[in-house]
Amino acid sequence: MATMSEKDQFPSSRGDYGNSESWLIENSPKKKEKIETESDETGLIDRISQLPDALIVQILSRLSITDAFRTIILSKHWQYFWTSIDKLVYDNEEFSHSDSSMLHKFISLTDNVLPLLSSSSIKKCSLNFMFEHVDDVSYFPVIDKWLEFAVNKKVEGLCLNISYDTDAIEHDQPYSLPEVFCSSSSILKLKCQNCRILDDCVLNWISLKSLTLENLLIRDEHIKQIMSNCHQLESFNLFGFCGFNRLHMTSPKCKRLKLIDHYHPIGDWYSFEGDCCFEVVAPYVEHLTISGDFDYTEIELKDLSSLDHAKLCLCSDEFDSMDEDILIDLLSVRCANELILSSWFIKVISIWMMDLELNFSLPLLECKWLTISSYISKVSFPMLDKLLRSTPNLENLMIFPGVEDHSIFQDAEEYTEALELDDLLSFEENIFKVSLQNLKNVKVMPFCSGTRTFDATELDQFLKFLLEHAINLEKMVIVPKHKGCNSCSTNISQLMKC
Amino acid sequence: MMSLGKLITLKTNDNEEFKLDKTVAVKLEIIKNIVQDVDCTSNVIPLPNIDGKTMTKVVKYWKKHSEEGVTEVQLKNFDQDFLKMSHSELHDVHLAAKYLDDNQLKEVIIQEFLDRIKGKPIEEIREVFGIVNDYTPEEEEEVRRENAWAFE
Repeated sequence: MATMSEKDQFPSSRGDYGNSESWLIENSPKKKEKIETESDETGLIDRISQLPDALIVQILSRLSITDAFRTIILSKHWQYFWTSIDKLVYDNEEFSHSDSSMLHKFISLTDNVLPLLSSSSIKKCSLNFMFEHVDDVSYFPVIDKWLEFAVNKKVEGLCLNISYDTDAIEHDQPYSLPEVFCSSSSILKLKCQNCRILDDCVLNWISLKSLTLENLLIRDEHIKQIMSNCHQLESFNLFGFCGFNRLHMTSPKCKRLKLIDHYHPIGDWYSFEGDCCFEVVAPYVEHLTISGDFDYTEIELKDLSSLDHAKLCLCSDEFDSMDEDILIDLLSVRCANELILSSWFIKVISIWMMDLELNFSLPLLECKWLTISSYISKVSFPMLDKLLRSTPNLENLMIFPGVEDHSIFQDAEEYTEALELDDLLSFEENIFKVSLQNLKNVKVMPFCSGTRTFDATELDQFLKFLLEHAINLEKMVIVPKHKGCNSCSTNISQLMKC
Repeated sequence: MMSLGKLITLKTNDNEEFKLDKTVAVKLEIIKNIVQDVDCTSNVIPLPNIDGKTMTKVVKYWKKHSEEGVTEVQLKNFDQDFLKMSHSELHDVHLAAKYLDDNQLKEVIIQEFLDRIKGKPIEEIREVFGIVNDYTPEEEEEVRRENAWAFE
């Protein structure tokens, strides 16, 4: 029989000392005021100049490079601090993007400051440069120069975001990464947004450990170069990508792969036609995330023999474009440890299963942890049933609904009602009859609708089933989404009754 | 190796003792490492570089951040209140975090210092942090003039 300690049943009483104290502070403005005055008084004898130099340099390293420079005016003692900064932050966010005189000011400030830096190497450089193409001046040579400076200073971490607003003219191309930068041997961590990798450019970052490319067209050749030249690569992340058909992760050290949003940004993309489909062969990858929009895209997962943790939270508005077999393939990932699934995924497979009248089964999955990041709806019952049947090793189950989940399933519920499935009742008689030998922990965060009263029936039923069938259940935790939220506590007390 | 008790005691340089639940403590890499390194028969770990007042703050931070089911909003509110301390107290906590090798806490403190400087006019930074301006008005004027591109 499942055991539930009193503590687990009543999460509202779980607060310890620290917890209730912070609640008190949050809710009593008087106390807040008092704290502020106290620190003001001590502030009189409290001087930041007394901080050790190393800490001051660390703080200044986080300011934008021009703000850091301006601290020379504070006192004579402060004149040289900023020159030791080892992180460069260029950010023209504070300047108006459309005003070209402001842009020129930003550029000249940066040009003036760079030569004054005394540090021989730079740990981190972040260049966030946004502008509008209002005049004919190209700012790309300036960016080339800054990047070259960073590469010469043996930069280790680089974050690059070059974006500009422009009328979408076909020949307009995003900023191309300079050659000297693509062969930097010092870079360990690179994040690159809205840039362009030229076709004849060779990517050769021999020390690189983590690579994130965002809004970028990336060709098969580039993937090959990355895999054959960047031997140290441990994690590879693509956001808003397209352009390749084969993602063969042949580097043994690279154990993390993230694929988020597949789409076509400006520039080269105009010339990129044809179906978006790609295969993933990643025998060494342990952590896989596929999430976001994959409209009109087909993903084929092939060798994932080392997979330990998989998060499948993708969605595709054009559901028909994503072959059901592909979805089932995705769901069949041989993930040894943890599997995370989102609402969309569960909904689509659920509906599809209803159409098929249950004539299919999932292959056995090995995972011990399962997170269902989804609202529990009647629609999803058959799917959840299949899922639990095919995960005999499951030890930990977590159910967390997302924000937009409810509406996702509302459509689906209407759809199933329209189907008028006669089998639905017999369905319910047959599902959830499996015993869950290994399930030990269940954690649920009920859906919080704010004002609407929560209809807990489905979640009730599901939890009831878990309590009946998980014969070795040790712990069931129900966490309210918001502390002190009426709707949350009503939901929970409803769940307690079941 | 120390015995597997339920509580771990951290003892500061002014002999104040902090009992930490082991489930809270071992979530922290730092403590786990100390527990493995220190060969003692009791469950008391001495912290020679940290005083009780500072350690109270650190423990409060740890407790909140390892609470089960705590939401990001709650942590944000907690951090905001937690960081309401003087610069020297902040510095003490930073030193403690450094000694305990707690990168997260270190980062939070540096960010707080940064927030206290960022976007403020030079005069206000001086005033708030009590930096004594040892430039003569003429000298200051010269620095500003020479670097007019930065101070416009």
